[in-house]
Amino acid sequence: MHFIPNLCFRDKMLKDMGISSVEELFSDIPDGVRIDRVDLPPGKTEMEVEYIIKDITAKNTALNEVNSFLGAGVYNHFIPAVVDYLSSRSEFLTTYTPYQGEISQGMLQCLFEYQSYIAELTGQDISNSSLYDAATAIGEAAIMCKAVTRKREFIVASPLPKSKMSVLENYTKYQNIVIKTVDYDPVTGRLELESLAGSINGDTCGIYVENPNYFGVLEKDIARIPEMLGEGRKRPLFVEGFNLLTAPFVENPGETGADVAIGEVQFGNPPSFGGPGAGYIACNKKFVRKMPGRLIGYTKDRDGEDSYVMTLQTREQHIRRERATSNICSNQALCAVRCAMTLACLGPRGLYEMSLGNLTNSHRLQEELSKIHGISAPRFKSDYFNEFVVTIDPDIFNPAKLYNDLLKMGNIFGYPLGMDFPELENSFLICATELNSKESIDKLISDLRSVGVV
Amino acid sequence: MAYRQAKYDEPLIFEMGCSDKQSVCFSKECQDPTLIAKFIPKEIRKKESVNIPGLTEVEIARHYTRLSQMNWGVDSGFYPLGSCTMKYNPKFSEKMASLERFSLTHPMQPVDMVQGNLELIYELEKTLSVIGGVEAVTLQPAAGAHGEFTGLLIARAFHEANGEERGEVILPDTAHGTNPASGAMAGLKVIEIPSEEDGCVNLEALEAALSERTCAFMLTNPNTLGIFERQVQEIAEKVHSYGALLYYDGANLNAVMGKTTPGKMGFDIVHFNLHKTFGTPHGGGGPGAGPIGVTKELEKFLPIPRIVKRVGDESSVKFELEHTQPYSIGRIHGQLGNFLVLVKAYVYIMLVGGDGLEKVSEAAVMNSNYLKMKLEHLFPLPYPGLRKHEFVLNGSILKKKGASTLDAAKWLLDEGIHAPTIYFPQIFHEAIMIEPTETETIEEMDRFIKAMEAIAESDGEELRNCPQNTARKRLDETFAAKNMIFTYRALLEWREKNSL
Repeated sequence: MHFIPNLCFRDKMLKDMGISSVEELFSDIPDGVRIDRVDLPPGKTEMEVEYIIKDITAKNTALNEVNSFLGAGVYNHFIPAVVDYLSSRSEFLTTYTPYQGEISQGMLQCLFEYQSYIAELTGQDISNSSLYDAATAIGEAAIMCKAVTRKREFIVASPLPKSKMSVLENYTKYQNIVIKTVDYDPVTGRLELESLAGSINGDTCGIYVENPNYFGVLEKDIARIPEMLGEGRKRPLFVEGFNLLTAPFVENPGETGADVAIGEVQFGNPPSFGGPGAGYIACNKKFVRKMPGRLIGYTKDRDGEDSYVMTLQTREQHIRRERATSNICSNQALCAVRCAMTLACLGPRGLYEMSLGNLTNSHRLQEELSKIHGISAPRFKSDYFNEFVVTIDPDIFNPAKLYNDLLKMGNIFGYPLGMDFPELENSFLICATELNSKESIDKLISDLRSVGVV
Repeated sequence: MAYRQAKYDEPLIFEMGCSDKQSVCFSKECQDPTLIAKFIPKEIRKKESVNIPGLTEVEIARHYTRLSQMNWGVDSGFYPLGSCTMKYNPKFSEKMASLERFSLTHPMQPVDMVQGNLELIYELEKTLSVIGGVEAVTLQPAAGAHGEFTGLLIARAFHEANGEERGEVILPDTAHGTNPASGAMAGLKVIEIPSEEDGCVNLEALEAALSERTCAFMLTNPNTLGIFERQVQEIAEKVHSYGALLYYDGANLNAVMGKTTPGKMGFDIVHFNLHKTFGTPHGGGGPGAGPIGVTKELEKFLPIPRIVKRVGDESSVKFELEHTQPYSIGRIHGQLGNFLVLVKAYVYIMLVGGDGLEKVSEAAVMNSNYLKMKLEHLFPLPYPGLRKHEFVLNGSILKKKGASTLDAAKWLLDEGIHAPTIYFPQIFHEAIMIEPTETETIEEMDRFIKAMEAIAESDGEELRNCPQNTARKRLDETFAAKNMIFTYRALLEWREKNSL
């Protein structure tokens, strides 16, 4: 047992305690609930486990072994090596929530810097130090909207995949919040401003709009939302789902007039089959007391030195119990730190280049796709960032066969949308990031040209 | 051992560098700036550049290395933070989880390309089912509290399927704060019942609180005082007699593996904290993972997608994601949970093995009782007797010298020992909650005992002046709450306002 250092002192320790066997320490467990053993195989050596794990990974294909155009909320972005190295320093990796601030200044400062980055990129006053993911962040935002306005209708004005919608429904189901949806414009894929305006009423607590939305479309009219909401303390809140990577080119939620911003942090965390990443939530400072999760604040120590500490903990479950703003305790702190480290590596120029790489590659891909007869790219007549919807003419290609043929040739032709959006049968959500180089795009196009027509 | 933590006047990263520097560049081939005006609608086109610092890699490496040196982890030393199970995190688990064929997989890849991931999830579900004594497990929840919330949604769905509206959740006053908070998230009225004089569940109070309105009773066993609830079978019987479900908060599972299981004790819903019991690192607050296990009766309510194993011709095996489950509560996470954390836990369990898990619990309980025996003459132990993996002392005696549990915690920091959990549970004042875990050495535990002896003997002023040896001295929490400075920008504004 490599991880139990006191096994060899067992007899001495038991003797000190005046006990003859370890079993006595468990004499308080009634016979009726006792078991003999954990019915699992005995422990293995690292070498043995490594064989098993390699056997398992042999059944996976990594995104760097295939020509992938998958996004749909989880994006494969470049991560500098220094981020892996620094974030795995065990003083960060093996610490917990910084309850003892004096000995945890390192993690506290990292998280304060993360909060500062998120606030800067979203144009909001404050950010917390992470939530589980973007889907749960929408749920937390809806709860905030109700707490601030004391109203109960939350309007989702962007198309959401079933998974995200289901999480939102679970978060709001028993909070006496009703979710209303507003359809997107079938031609542009964008928000329908008039339907949205028509759906707002005296009981609306918040409006959720993503920019870019799930289809990758940029919401050019998003800054007109605040004027629909009226004035006063009880007006509905505007929650924007914002892709941080667009920050160099697209007005942030502070500039569009959003009250709350949420999303995935994107930076520094590999796709990892969907987790761990981190959700961010940022907002106007007047809503701070309704904010879920950990907040790190600046303070002084007894010598007057700059310091950081967890603060406003009276919002949180360990103090406020059932009246807390949320039940969140463990969060995604290390993912947040990795996000901050990556932004540190990028700086304003690197961020601009990375963002431009996404814009450039996706538009290069879309332009090439649009030249192929039978493929409508983009399906929606709107500007987009790094992702767009492609619709296949079933008279020219069999969409399922096309996807599978491309897969056999080593391409993942995005994400089929039919399951989540029946009206988008024969459509795929295609993403190109800075990692989809010219070679990657050329390969897809040449493979596409070689697959047979129906 | 005299301890001195590194102390730097490390500036905020926003105070470093300049806008021209960058430590990452991207290929010029993929940079066409004319596209910005062409494809970013002018209505929302950004006018100013993003105001973040630019740095070179050497500056970044030093910044974070210095910050790491002003931090304390399990690898730095003793971390007896009660309820959090701060055990050693095997490096091998990290190595396995960092394999690109895990980290560079996408949740929307065709299932044929991620058979390994699905197999691992399937096998870990089965493994946790054995450890928890439950029928089925979901790995979707991202943390313990997230698991509690999921569990309560399942409980509500179960009652609703039976045509019952049960709007109350009962829990003892020793419960973790997440329990009542999760109850509130699930829209349940929270009823807290007082503990018995021995620190355990008061059966009469439980009986009085139970009704046909009770959705579930939430309990952790051993409880947060580290005491095993001996009457757990009677508790289960009572709860079930009202048609309610019994929920197991798995925060304290490290105490009883190989000795009992939540299922055997009569629990219907169980959450596991992989970052506690199964050695995955806590990462400064997360990511963790909070899988849920349930009885056969509740399996159909688990979140989708479910991972199913299909055995085909010539015993070929294929794993699939099953999305259509009519009774399922739906999703609780946008994807499949904190997958890499699951990999680490699975690796840990294989390394330790079934026999090893029992040894883990034995050593955790032995270490805890050893410390308790050595410390209970210094600080009163409310509710005397045997403990499991943790125990709670009462620091009130420090009041006599004008000091508090908080001061004692800060003294320990000066000794190079992370403080225990303090002021929890809240059923008495000045609680000191100590959980050594199985991975602590006797040498460090003896040093902790000496430090606690020194605290008992010290004078009040010495205690109140702690810490001195950490990167910062005592922090002003009131200042933080009053000024509410959460970002660099706010800090600049505050400094300007105060002409600093």
